[in-house]
Amino acid sequence: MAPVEVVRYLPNEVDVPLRALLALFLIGFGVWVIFAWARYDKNAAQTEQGWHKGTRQLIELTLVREDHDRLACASDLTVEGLNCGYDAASRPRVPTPDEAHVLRPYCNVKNEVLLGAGLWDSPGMRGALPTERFTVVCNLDIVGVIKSVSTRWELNGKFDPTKQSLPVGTLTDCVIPQ
Amino acid sequence: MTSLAVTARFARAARSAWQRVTAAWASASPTERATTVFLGLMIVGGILLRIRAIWYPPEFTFDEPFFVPNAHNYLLGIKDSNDHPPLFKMFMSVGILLFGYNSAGWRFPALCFGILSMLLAYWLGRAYFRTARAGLMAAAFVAADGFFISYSRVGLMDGILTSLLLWCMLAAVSARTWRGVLVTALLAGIATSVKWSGVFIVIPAAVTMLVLGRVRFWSLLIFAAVPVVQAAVWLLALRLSHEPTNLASLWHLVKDLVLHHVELNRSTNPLNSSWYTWPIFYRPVIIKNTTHGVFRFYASTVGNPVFWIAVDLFLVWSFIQLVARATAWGGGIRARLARLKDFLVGKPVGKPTLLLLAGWAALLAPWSIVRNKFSFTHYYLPSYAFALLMLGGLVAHAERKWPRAVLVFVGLGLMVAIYLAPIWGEFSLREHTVNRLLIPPTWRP
Repeated sequence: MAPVEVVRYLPNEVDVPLRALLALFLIGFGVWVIFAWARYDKNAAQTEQGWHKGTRQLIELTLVREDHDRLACASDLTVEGLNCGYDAASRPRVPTPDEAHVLRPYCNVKNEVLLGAGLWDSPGMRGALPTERFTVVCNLDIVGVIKSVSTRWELNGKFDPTKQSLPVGTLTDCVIPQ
Repeated sequence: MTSLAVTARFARAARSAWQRVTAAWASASPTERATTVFLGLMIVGGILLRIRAIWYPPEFTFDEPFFVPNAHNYLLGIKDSNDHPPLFKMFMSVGILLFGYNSAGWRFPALCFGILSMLLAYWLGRAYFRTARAGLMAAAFVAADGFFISYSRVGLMDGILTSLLLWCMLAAVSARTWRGVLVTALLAGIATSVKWSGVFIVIPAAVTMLVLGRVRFWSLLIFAAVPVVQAAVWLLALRLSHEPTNLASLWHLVKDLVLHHVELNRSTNPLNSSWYTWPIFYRPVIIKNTTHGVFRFYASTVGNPVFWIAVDLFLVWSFIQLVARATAWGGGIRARLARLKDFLVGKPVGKPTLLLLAGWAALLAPWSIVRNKFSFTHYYLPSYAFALLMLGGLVAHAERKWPRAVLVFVGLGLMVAIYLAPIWGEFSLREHTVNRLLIPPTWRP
């Protein structure tokens, strides 16, 4: 094998700090790859402090009866058997998933957005619902996070892609506090 | 230069570097090779400790609530109401932009700069002591020290500030003309835009340039660019947050913040500690502290005792030497000065060690002068970086004479790092284990 010429790199005064800048970008890229590989986004919800996969949170929502039909999300993703009522192209999902597994977007009293399923099917919600705006308290069991999702907040509104990932979970033990 | 030429140049440089590494390995004695393996383990372990589960806990910890929402504000285009310069929060907003408004996003910049600090320590050690071995030692010591590890795992600014200060010193050591001084001043301005205390880097940077004698004296006037850089960064920040972007508004903002800090210095804090306790890590802060049932997850800022005790002993020994030579009998004032000079410019002290000591002292001195009730151990982090660079050079020098002693020293440093890793890197621990690791009660939360 022919001997390889040893090149002694003689950096100048501007090259040295620039080399550190290049190193910073390379480190940033490496960290980004590691974060992606470690699937950080599956274990940490972005909207709320302390919400992460596998935890149960007590949440408080204010709703109106019509929210059952008004609130909807659109995505092709399925998380632990839960999915949106619409696909990514905003077409109703076929076959229609059962109520307990349909995700809907909710905004809790702290103004945090989440995707929950099972609220309207919960025993505490089966009777006649108030005609005015009412408060519901539920347990949210977080099963994952979705980033590629669009939400709709009005019956004939359009689906807007969310800018952040949203926690996904089942809403259980919902009650209307007296 | 085409991209092909740049790639070829990088490939040649990488190949050449690899050849130097293999040549150094081949010419090293078995003891030196064992030391190299230990240093390598420190670096690899240090990187892993910095990265592992950095997003835990997923909520704010320690002072993060002061910074993270304000970093988010830059993305929302609303006011930053924090009382520090804006750049750290702007860095953080880049992390949030990449990963979302979550703990991975807001801790991303601290991690990147934390890893960069190791590389800068290598370059600086090599530049000061003119041997790659000193650089390797310095990088490994920074890698295996809890002070640096904990600040790489949290959305706080001191780790980033330290990295920028090292970067600035690298530019200062490399400066040969006014261009190098300008780059150094730009980096000093950027560091000062993270935290005001960064401005003190101008002293060791200027001293280094003068002592190395590579730049003309008048070119140091370029350091006047430091406040200009900070003003430019701040005006950009104000623009991003849709605030008035004229100099008068900026002046009022800065004036109010200065008054606020002066007022803050009169208040007290339970975590307060005096500057003279910092080099002995009397009261390190636990900056990430989570409890889940019976389990504790800590990121303590206590440094590696093997390293900081070695630094402290060297400082004490140097001080005793200076006093002894100054007060020794025989000769007049000239003879005494000659003896002092012999000690300071001779081995193991010498010019590089003196320059790094100047950096260590320049970044510590302001806190010893101000002596307020509102000072904390983490103010020592930039100063400590200089101490570890100095230690790297001293140990590399010692290795030529006493390779086995250095092997024992480095091995001890590695063992202590492994021992303390659980309380630096947030391992799941029970309270009795935590208390066993954090031996002095003042180290505990």
